[in-house]
Amino acid sequence: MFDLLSALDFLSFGFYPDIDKWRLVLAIVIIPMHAVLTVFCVKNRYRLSYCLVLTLGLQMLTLWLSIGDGAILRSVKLDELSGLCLNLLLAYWSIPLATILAAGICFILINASSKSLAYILGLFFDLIRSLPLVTLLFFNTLILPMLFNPKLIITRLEAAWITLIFFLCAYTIQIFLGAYEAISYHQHESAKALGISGWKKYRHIDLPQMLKHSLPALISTYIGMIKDTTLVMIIGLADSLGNLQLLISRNAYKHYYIEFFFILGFLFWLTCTLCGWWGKQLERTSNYGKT
Amino acid sequence: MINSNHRILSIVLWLAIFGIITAMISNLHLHISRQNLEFGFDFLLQRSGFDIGDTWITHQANMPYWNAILSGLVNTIIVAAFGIVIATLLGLVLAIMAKAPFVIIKSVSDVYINIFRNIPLLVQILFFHTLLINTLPEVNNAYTIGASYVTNRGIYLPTTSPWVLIPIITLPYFFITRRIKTGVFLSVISIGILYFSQWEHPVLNRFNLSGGGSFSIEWLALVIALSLYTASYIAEVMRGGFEAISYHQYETARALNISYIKMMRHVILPQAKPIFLPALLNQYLNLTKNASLGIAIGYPDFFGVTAGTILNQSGRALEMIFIVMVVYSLVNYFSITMISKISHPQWKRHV
Repeated sequence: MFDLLSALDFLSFGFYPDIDKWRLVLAIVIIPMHAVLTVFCVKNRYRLSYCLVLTLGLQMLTLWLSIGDGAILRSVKLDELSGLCLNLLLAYWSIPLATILAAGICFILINASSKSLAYILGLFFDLIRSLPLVTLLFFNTLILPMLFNPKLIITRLEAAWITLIFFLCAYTIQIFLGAYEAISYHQHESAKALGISGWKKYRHIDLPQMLKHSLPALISTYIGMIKDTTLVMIIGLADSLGNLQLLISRNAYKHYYIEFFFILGFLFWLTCTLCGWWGKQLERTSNYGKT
Repeated sequence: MINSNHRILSIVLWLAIFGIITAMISNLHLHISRQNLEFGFDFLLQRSGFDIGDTWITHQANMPYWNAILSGLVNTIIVAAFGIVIATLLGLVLAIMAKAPFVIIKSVSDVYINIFRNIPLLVQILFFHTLLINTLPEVNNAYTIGASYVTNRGIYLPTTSPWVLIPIITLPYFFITRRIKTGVFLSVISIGILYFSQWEHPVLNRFNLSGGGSFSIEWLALVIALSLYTASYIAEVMRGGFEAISYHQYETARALNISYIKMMRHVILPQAKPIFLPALLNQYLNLTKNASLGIAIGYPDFFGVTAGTILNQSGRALEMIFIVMVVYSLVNYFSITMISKISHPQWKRHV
């Protein structure tokens, strides 16, 4: 029997337990709220550290909502996450973390006193950038459990999560370094004249300008990341695309494959378009000084 | 940029990196010894024991593993070559449409770019694969076009000796470099060769087609999806290049009563080419890397063969990871060297 609602439910939530679906809905609703809050913070020129705390707090909140803790919320295994929610949450859990990590690594690359350290870090992230994401996902599910202690069990989803973070981080570092080059040398000279150096210079002079310069490129990388979360299907995770394949392999839905592909395509199109629109808003609000 | 205040930071980071690497290597060693794995590349010379159906370099069960890797690599290169040619042509058309003075043509290009850029490539690949499999007919009632057949297993074409193709492939070169007489002479000769050469036609049996050459349905879906997806990016890149040209050039061309297509061909494109070429090559590199998504529909490209078939069959995970890393890094290294060379201002001046 053809049932569109249950099919859509399967497409978006997958194998997540029925009773706990409200938690996942709540976690998904938090994502656009976070986006709006970020624009609000930028508009009112709050400190960057407040944004950082807000981001990390909301990340923890969504993680808590989706997997629970056993005491207040019933605990659900991370591997039971599936459907479109898995795509969105994977993107949401990797994008801010990767950006923060990239900002930290840029500080090392810019300020490290030993050139060889910067060289080795650069080589590592260049290697990541030269490989397609599929190969990284595929191999990390094999090799990551081997690199850690045998007692530590790393599931496929965790391996995929780590891979996505490092993959996005490698591209974001490149964007940040490009943005660092775009900062006028007068800024560096003024900082030197005022005796500001190291972390203080990076935090108060370089990073705000880097973030502003790199915003368009960052947003297009984020959109790429949202699209790339579908690749976790290849390592066997039940994301929206995997669920779609399961769905159209059933007899009842077999003849409606075009409709289901169009629905999924539309959902991704909507997400990416909204992300691009959010980026435009952020660009407009962060454009201080200009009228 | 070197700051003496951060010497301590560097030392701590060095120690951390060494610690992490040592721990990882020791854990790896523990796992390898526990699971009785062995590390070495001599297995590449052994008999592979599996066939690959859809290759340009034949691979059969009695051939060694390295031949399988080679045929996968050739598959990837051919997918990338076809994809790059189609995507560039389509992207160029879309970019020229995007700057056209008619709203309808402009919006067609805008809608195309907006849709194909914002839908994941994997969704597109799977969509085209499912679509082709479900809409094309079964083998026993295949569409027949001349001596070639279109079925839901692939397109079967008559083949001839590959050497015949050489004058046809070199033809565009003579026309592009305006050696028209040589080109016409060569085309007459190649038509003659094609007419008189020995053709091997595909034969329709009861359940399958034998003989001739074929493009498999996976190949077709992969090339269609890759080129449609990348065309939208290439169109954006080229449009950026067109927009970097001063508007005086457009206005001058219009004042001289040059038609829109001719203006693009003779005035804008030669100036925009050095501007968008580095980004264009970057898109080519992306397309080549994205060809590894063929593993989702079972196309035996380089990654599909190494990580899919050989890894499952021989269980040599570390070696396969090493090979894939080295090959993709080399490809990346050479293309990045090329990109940085042509994006050098000195080179641009001579264009």
